[in-house]
Amino acid sequence: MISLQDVTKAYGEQVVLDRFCHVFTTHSFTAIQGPSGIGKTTLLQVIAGLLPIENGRVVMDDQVTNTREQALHPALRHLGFVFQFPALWPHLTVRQNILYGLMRQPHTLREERLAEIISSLEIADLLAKRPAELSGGQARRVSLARTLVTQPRYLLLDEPLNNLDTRLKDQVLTIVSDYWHKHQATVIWVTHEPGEVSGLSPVVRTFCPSGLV
Amino acid sequence: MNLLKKADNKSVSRTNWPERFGHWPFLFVIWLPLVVLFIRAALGIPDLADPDGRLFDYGREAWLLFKTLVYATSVAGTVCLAGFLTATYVCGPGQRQVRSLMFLLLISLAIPSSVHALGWLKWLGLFREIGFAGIASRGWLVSWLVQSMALLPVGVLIIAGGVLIQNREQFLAARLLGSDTRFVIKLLPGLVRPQILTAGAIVWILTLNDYAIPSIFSINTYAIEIFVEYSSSYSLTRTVLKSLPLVLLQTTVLAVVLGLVPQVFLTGRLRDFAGLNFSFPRHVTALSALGPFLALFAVAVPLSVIFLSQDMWRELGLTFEQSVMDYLTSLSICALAIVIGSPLAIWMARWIHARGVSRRALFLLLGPVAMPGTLTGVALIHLFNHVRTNWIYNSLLLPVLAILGRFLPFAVLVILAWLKRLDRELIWAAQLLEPDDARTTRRILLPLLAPGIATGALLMFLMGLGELGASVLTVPPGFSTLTIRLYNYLHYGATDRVLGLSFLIVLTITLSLVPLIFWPRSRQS
Repeated sequence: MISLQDVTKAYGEQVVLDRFCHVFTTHSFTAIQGPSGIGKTTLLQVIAGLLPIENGRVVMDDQVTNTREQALHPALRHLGFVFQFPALWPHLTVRQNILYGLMRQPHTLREERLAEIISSLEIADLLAKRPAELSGGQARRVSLARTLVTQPRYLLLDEPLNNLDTRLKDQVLTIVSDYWHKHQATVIWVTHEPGEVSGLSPVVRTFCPSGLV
Repeated sequence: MNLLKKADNKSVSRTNWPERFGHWPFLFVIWLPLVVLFIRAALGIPDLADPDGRLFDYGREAWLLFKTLVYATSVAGTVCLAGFLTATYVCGPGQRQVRSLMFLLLISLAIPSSVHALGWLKWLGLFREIGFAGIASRGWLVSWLVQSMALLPVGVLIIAGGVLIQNREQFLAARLLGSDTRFVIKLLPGLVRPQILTAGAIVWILTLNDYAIPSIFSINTYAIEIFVEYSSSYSLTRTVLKSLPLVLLQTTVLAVVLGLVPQVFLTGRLRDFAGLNFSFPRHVTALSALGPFLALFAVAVPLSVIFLSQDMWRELGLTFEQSVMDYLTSLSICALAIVIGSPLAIWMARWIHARGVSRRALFLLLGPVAMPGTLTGVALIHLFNHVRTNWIYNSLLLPVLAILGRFLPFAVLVILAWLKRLDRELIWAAQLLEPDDARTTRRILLPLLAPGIATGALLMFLMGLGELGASVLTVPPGFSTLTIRLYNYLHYGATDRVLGLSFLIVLTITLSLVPLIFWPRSRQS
């Protein structure tokens, strides 16, 4: 469960989250809609611990993760974040990109997870390549692989279907849906086109600065 | 159910230490000597004794300062004009050659001013031989010419480079709404105004602080006056008081242009400028071509004199034999400056980036640039001239600190520009997967910053190689640098030796830029 309690986040004078309150229940799939620039991405970044908050608190599974004074490190929150753009590290190979989050795990577990994810995402032949050598669709799948290989409990997706063709959109939707069902994760999907995830029967909420309606 | 619980021991502070304290090493190494200098100078004021009741010849010095300011302003104006003409040329026929031109100018940045002086001495002598007897070999006019030519690459790179970071659509829109000539007159100056002002300020400050070229062409400038004051009186207070007008003026100008620094150096990416197809009338094209022509001429003059001298090649072996220790000393000082300075530059850049690029942060970074080289040297001498710090005072560490004091801010600026260009999601993606920030820094941030770090280090190396003002005061007894030896040879008229040393410097510059050519593009962020 993710609970946001009176969370306030501002960029200078502009208040984006104004005593924001909402609870994302465990194993739920929530689609957050709203026009561009309203604060949906900021919400995800606050939950992930990537941005500080001015007030309030974020609680994940009974643990306070964000307050004004402190924040739990993003890597300790068991969450995965899919950015709008792949954000692959250009100096690492695809294999190194994917395994980065598993470097502290035993070798056998790493290889097992890698084999599973590259099979489901059909990227086995890309492992030795670098991001600059990948097409847009390949980069998107590698980025998903990097996020999902750690089997996060919470999956945050920031407009992941932007700039994708129909075929690739369907691929991504299928991958996320399979993951949600298989791992019983809590998914928060930000979009400005709620229709794109209607096939997954999410709970659709509209963003406003004080909460989701 | 109580959902509220204190964060457990795994909670960590939001930022890691370079982003909170990364400025302290920079302040300690760069600002501490200057702060101590000014404090000691202030404390020494009551002890100044002058039987006539006058500390300095105020009238003479005010007049000298005025002449120096006019000199520096005319150099800055000339450089900015050449820069604007080159910017115009880049929009028109120069689109294809722009990157080659930029690369050549980048190389020439590191050629010491005394090498430029030598080149022009030779060329002016040549002009006199072929019949232009009226051309002077010394004085304000020829010094203005040589100083402008020596600093032309700085201005042209900044101003013409400013064109390359503009939004291409702005140019296309101009073509749809008016003539190309009208664009040059009405729009281009406004588009590159920040670059013109910043380049002008930098060239102005560099001119005010340089005494190599003025002394070679026998003019007295205020920077020379400061050096002479310290050499004759060894009085820290008198030297600081004498340099105060210059420091205040330079600091004021720097404070004014600080707001433009982010626009000029920290935003935008170099864009592909091919295909704009501006078409100027012939007279506009010819006028604009003057800019790159002057820039190329400024580079060609010193290089031609160096490479076309038969005497130089004949004496090269002997020159190297006599100067090998100075050469190794110069290389050692610059290499040490890179080793010590690179971490300081990275930490300072990360601190500024985390805090936001404010005027206060930029002043902390660039304030030392407004100090004359002599003052930097004096500050270091007086800070470390004690028994306990003898190991610094009598070693090459002192000139290393001098180079850091003068050029580390530029290395920080380069790394900061690279940091700002970095997609922060690349770092966030790592932070989401790895709780150890040190590891994220090592495996993700530093490799992504590597080109910026290498460029900053290279800039510091090249600028340090040609540094004279602070080096001449801080190099320990028994040592000398290439530029000190070159400067001395120039004064004694040992031209062949000067040419040989200049060749060594140019060769070193070229070799140090070779890695840039072979830097693997696929690894670039």
